[in-house]
Amino acid sequence: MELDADAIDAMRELINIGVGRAAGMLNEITKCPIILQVPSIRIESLEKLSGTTDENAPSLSTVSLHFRGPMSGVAALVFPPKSAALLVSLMTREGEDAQDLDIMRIETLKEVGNIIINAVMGSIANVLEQHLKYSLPNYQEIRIAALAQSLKKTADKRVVLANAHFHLEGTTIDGNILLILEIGSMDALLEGITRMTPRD
Amino acid sequence: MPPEEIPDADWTQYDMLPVGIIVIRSDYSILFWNDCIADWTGMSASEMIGTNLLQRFPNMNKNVIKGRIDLVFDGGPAAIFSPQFHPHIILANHPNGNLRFQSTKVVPHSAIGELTAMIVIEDVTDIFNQTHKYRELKNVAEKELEERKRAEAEMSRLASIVESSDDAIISKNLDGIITSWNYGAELLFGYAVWEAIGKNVSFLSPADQAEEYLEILQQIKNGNHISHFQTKRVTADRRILDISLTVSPIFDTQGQIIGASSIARDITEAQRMDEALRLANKKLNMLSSITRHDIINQLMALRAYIHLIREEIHDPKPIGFIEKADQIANTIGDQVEFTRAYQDVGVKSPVWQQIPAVITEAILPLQQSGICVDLSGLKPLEIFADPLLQRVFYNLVENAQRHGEHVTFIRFWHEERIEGLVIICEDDGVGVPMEFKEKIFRREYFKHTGFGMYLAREILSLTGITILETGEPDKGARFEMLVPKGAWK
Repeated sequence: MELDADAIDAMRELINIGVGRAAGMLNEITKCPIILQVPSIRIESLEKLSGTTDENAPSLSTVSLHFRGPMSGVAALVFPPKSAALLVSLMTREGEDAQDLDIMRIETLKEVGNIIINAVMGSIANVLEQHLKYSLPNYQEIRIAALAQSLKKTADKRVVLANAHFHLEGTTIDGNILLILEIGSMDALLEGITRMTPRD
Repeated sequence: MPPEEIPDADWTQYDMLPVGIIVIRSDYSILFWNDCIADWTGMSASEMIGTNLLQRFPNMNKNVIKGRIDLVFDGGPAAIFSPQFHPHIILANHPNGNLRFQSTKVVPHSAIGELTAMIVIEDVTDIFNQTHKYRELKNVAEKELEERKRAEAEMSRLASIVESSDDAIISKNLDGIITSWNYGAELLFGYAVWEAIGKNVSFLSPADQAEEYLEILQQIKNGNHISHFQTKRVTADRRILDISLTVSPIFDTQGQIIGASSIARDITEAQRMDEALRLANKKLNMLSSITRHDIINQLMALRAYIHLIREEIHDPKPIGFIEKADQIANTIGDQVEFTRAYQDVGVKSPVWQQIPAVITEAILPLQQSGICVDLSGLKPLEIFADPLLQRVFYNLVENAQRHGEHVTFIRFWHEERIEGLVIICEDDGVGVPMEFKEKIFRREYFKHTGFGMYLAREILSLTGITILETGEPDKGARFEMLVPKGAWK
């Protein structure tokens, strides 16, 4: 199936519903006002995104979750490592000087990623009207290409890439939510979206 | 289902794990409570199974915990609770007496034919504490690194100042072995850095001063600082230089003296110029002296002739002219006398002089006058002034005697003010009329009081000292001399 503008809009809506719920939960946990926005999503080719031919492509701080079912793949929250450390430092009120990811901050980042990815996957599962099976979330500093290679089947050449903006403590931190799907899974998602979208 | 109905084989494996494991139904009733969590909490499985987890641990009944566990029961992914946000989900004491820090995961689970949730709790107390220690150490290390970088930048800046200095800057250890040698030293002495480093600094001294460095190093070992010490040094091409040397101790981080740094400035040219100036002054003074001698001789002859003419002529009209000629001759005499007094002003370098001693010396020739001179208000302070300072005090006292009319005492004392030290000379004579307070310091005023006050102001001004007359007319004269900061001690 083709990904037309309506499908992309609907997908953006789904992700926004998820991150809206996640932001509410993060506000409650951290007691600090956090605004989480997904202003745009786009479909990128996996090759372009992962820099598969570039051995020097940077590793990113990634909290990822594999899922299986009518739709299979990996969902990930991705940051440059310094941005990830800054996000955690601001959420835990440790100050902007704490700019490295030690084991405790990685645990915290995993929880933040867990909340956001769970909320997004919750929205998507609702559309599919079927349950998915999920792995435990995992933290890695990894290149996108390596993340795609962790799929059991070959990844679809198209990757859903959502820009995620975190606004807190007067600072904006940019990250990305990635949805790398196995071949065939994108169609399942689009079918679900089509079912959900009201017809003229 | 009561716990006794759950087959043992399904659960015993979880009792062996070093993590806390709790299995709950969707109504939060406890289905399994492993040995580890029983050990941590002191609550046995038999006590906990079948009870409600939220009632046992009300802190879990918050949306941020229960709300997310509910989503697991709704088929959502596992929920993770990090130790920074949720340090103590199940309140359990650590052997160290504090609550255990926990990393908790709630995963969907299937047991007894229904969807359950397994709560897996890892004790991360030690990791938590170690991480905090690591962070503290890291903060200290980062601060030290920052300090070190700042110090290195400062050292680099200072090194570049030393390296680019025109003065020769040399450091040596306490045995006199040269340890650093800047570009200025290369230029001044003609030795490259590789030729100088490692040698004893005595190789720069003339043969007759080879031991001088030992005395300098002894001063440094005693913690002393040597300023503007004038000596001689030999260059690579055997020229002898006049050098002004400033030497300071070098300390290690414990404050121990480990060497000395010296700044050597070539003053050979300045010395030559001083000498040339001294010779020129000497010649000028000689010329002045000869000329003055010749004029005085001629003046004596002129006065003798005026005297002879006055005896020979009785007509009042030419006598008036002769009187005027006599006055002119007297004026010429006074002016010649002034050149005698003024020729020594500023010829010699200023020196530190103790005020009471200088005044005592100055007034010795005047003590037969019967005037009481009181110096009790003066501490033995020193001021930096021209060697003719004694002349200033002589003039002040002599003027008081000559022009004060009924002076009975002269008092000297001093005051410390914000602007400097003020030395005051006061008498009880007639004082100085308002209109003459400034005029007495002018050269053309010599007709009335001589050149004394003009000379006094000139002598004092050489080292920045000012003098003013501040007395009340008819109540006595009062002279205030202001010595600027740094020119008295």
